[in-house]
Amino acid sequence: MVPKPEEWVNNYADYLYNYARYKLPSKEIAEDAVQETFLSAFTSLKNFKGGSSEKTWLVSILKRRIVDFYRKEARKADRNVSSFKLPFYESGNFENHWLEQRAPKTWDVDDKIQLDEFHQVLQFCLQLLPDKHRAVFMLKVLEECSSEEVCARANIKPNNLWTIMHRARLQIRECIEKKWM
Amino acid sequence: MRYKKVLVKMMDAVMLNCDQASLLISKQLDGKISWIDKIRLKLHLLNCEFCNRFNLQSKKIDEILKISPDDLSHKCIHSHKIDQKSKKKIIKEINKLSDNQ
Repeated sequence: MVPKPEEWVNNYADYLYNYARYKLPSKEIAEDAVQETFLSAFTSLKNFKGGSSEKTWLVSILKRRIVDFYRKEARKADRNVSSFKLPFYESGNFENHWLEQRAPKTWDVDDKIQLDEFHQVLQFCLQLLPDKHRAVFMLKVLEECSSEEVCARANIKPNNLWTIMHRARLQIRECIEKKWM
Repeated sequence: MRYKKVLVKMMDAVMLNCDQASLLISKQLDGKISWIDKIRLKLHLLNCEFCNRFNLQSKKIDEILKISPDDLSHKCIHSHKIDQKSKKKIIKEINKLSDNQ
């Protein structure tokens, strides 16, 4: 049985879009991903066995679109270079130890409202990363690609990958603390 | 005196600074680190509160980015909704698609 487009879109578009917004950098990109998901679902309807629910099937298509987006971004040249400075002493007795004023504070993210706000702040902070670094970071964190694949796509060496991940985590963490506490 | 110097050198080789320790923390989240690095990291974490916090916070960030769509709609109050206009556009595109088939 062929589903009605209106029904599918009304039932699942918000659910898919909400997920896409949390994983993708902008409203427009999230909307495109949702549209592509529906189009791709309708063109491959014959592949849908009905074993899993429609929702699960659509989510799996959307997840692939998200990874595809970051794969493309990872391949791009590194245009906006990060101006982020490492939060460690550059010299002296405490060389390479945390600068006190930028060192991690304790976080308290347990109840629902806090988690919700935390989510929003995290989204904001991801925007601060250079596009290529964000793509590398997301591909690795979402565990959809092996390190080798990420390196090959982004045309970087493994050591470079670990440095990007390290810097991204330091930067996101610090940004969250500034915005949220 | 000489022994002391050797000892300091040995300690330096084993002890990590926070830059190195946080790099290993990050690496450990993405994959494996060698057993010797694991020991060095454990030693560092024994008396570095800042790196312990960095470890917990990085785990939290990863965990939240990995959230599943169902958890997202259950655990979060705020949910994004797609514009009605975009919905209509999607339906139009799908209909175009089936007309062409």
